[in-house]
Amino acid sequence: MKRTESAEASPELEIDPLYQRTRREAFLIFGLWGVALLWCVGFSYLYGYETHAPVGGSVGPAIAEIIGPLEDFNRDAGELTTVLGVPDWVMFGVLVPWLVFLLVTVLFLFFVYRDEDLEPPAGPSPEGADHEQ
Amino acid sequence: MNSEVVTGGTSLATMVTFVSYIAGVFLLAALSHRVLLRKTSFSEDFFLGGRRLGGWALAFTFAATGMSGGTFTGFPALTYSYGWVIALWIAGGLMVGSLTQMGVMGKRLNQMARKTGAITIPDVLRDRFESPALSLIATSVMILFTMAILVAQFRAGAFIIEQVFNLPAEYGFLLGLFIFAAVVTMYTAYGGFRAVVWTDVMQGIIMGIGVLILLPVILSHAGGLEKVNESIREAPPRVVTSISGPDNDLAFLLEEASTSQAEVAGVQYAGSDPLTGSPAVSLVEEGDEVFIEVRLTTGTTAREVRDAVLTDPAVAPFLADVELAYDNDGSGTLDTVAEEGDRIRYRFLHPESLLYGPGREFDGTPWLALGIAISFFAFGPIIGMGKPAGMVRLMAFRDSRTLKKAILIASVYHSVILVVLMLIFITAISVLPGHIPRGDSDRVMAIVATEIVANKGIFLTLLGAVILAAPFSAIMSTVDSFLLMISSGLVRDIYQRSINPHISERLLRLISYGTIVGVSAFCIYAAYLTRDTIDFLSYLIIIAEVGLASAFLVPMLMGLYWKRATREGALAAMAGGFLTTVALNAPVFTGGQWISLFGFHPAVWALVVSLVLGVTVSLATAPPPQYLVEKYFYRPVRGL
Repeated sequence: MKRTESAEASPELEIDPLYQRTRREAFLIFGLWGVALLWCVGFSYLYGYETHAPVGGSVGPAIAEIIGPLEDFNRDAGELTTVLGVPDWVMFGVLVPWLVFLLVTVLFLFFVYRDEDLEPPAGPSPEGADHEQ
Repeated sequence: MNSEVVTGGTSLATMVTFVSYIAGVFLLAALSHRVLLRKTSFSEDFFLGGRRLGGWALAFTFAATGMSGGTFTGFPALTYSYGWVIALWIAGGLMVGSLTQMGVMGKRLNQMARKTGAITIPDVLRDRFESPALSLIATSVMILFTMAILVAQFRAGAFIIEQVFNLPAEYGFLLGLFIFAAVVTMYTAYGGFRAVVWTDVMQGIIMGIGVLILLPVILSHAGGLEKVNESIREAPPRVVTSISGPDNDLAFLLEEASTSQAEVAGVQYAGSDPLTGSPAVSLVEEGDEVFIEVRLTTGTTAREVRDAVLTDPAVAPFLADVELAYDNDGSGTLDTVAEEGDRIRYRFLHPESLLYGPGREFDGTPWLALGIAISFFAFGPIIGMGKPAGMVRLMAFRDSRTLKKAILIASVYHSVILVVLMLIFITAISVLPGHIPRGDSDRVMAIVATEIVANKGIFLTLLGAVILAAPFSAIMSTVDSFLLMISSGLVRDIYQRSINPHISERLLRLISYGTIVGVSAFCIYAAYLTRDTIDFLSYLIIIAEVGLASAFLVPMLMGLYWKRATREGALAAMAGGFLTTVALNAPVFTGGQWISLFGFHPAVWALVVSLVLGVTVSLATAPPPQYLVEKYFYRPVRGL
């Protein structure tokens, strides 16, 4: 999406930095989601499915073209290993990334996600506003 | 055979828990009413809590609104039916769900709403695009879908009250309906947004504690997770047949776990003589899959299917046992008649289906195929961003520090609850093996509460009662926020901004109370009318939540983050999302399956269509007026 810069805006106005920063943060969050998707669904599908036979119109065949025949990844009950009682693929495809992304969320909130003044410029500023606790 | 078990016990402890829960809700409503009386701007306070929501409140109200009654009925049922693959189903919400739902729009939406004084989501859209039409369409879509969800929740709430208080059958449902409606209407109208939020917090804390205690209890009952996996692995394969939908099933358990597919597949069998009129049973091999195929003639009953399979010389040797399952209200029986002269196929459900993806339906079709897994990964985190009930809460928090705190709390709270619930009901598979047929699996939670934890000392009895109350409180917290949303839509978007802008505070207050009561009355009526027919309404609900979200998400994102977005673009995006959802889900209304193009869920396509239309129509129409862009994307230069 091409942005038309502030050229045509009135001279006493500047582009709202909150808009620019929140938009950048929004894209970053979408990016994080994409990484989580690749890890969770990618890993779980490869290592956690008993069958990889394509169902009508599935995206499976396209993937098989890239990484080879998916049947090699088919699993049966006998070969299940567990970590702390959780099936291996659930542990490394869902629970481990869950903890990793919890940590990522914390880091993101502390180091990327900025505090902003949300009150409109004319209105009373909430600076030093009372916080609960 | 399971009906007594399934009904769920109603102990004194359960009744006491319910009554104290309701009393607690009223107490919170009374407190928030006192706060409300001190405020000057009624509508901002009644519908948004004066934009002063704190971190804990925002986090819990977000989590609670996200959890509907389904979290405590549908989710346990899915886990019980499909096993470990449920982990992948919820994975999207676990990873970054709270961050996307609150973080992507939070600060910007809050800022914009403060700038214009907007109170509802259609309000924001109307101001941003200067389009009353957009706002009215948004309100209509919202009311349509929300009403459908509301009616169903009213009905579910009434059923629970009827059961918990053992109301007599002839008027129990109606009485339950009135009690439920009276409770929820009174505290919502009396306390407004604050009461709704505080109720959510109370519910969230109690549920959290209950679920965290339940996990070790059920795990020790089962002997640990390793034991659970073992018992799943060693369970015999089964064939499940059903002739009138999933509510009326016969489960055939195979003789022993070692009976391999190959052995069964080796049997050549031609099938019964269709001329005798009895159902023809045959084994069908296709690739490495084996099916039992039952050909039905019209009028075949479940009893005939059972008898035919059990006496069939090719199949019978492998069958150890047969279970009957009736649907929840007991209306399905062995004499239920098949509707079509069709043939149906049943796959042997092997235990690995519960240990790995994709999970199996009765007929062997995969439940969470790759495209659907990807779709569901987008459900909570991406499509969920567009839920109006969630977005409106983003207009209500106090400042950005509050938001950050709330994201943090919600991320931990929501994901821990989901993981713990998953582990509880995976364990239930081995603790209650073969107990609960799939059609009845909505009661898994109730059965766990009554069978596993009840009658083992006062503490666990209380825990069981709290668990039984979980779906009820989840229903209440959905209903209250939706009542408020519809009321705000009618009062603010339609009456105040389109008919009479100069309404007095007093009148506004009366109308707000009035609409909540009116909507409740309508829901009582509609829930009573539809009490025995689940069809149309439940189909509407399947599409209601995603339909809402996919209609609102793209217009809202465009409004917040794209200067070039035009009102025509926003309208097209909203219509595109709504119509795509309806079109791709159309077969659902005739009892079919939704249309999943290229294996993806309709909601994903709705979002794609909405986005493409929003962008192309915006670019094809004249740019928005300069003053609008300046108002929302620029600020005065701050001189030093």
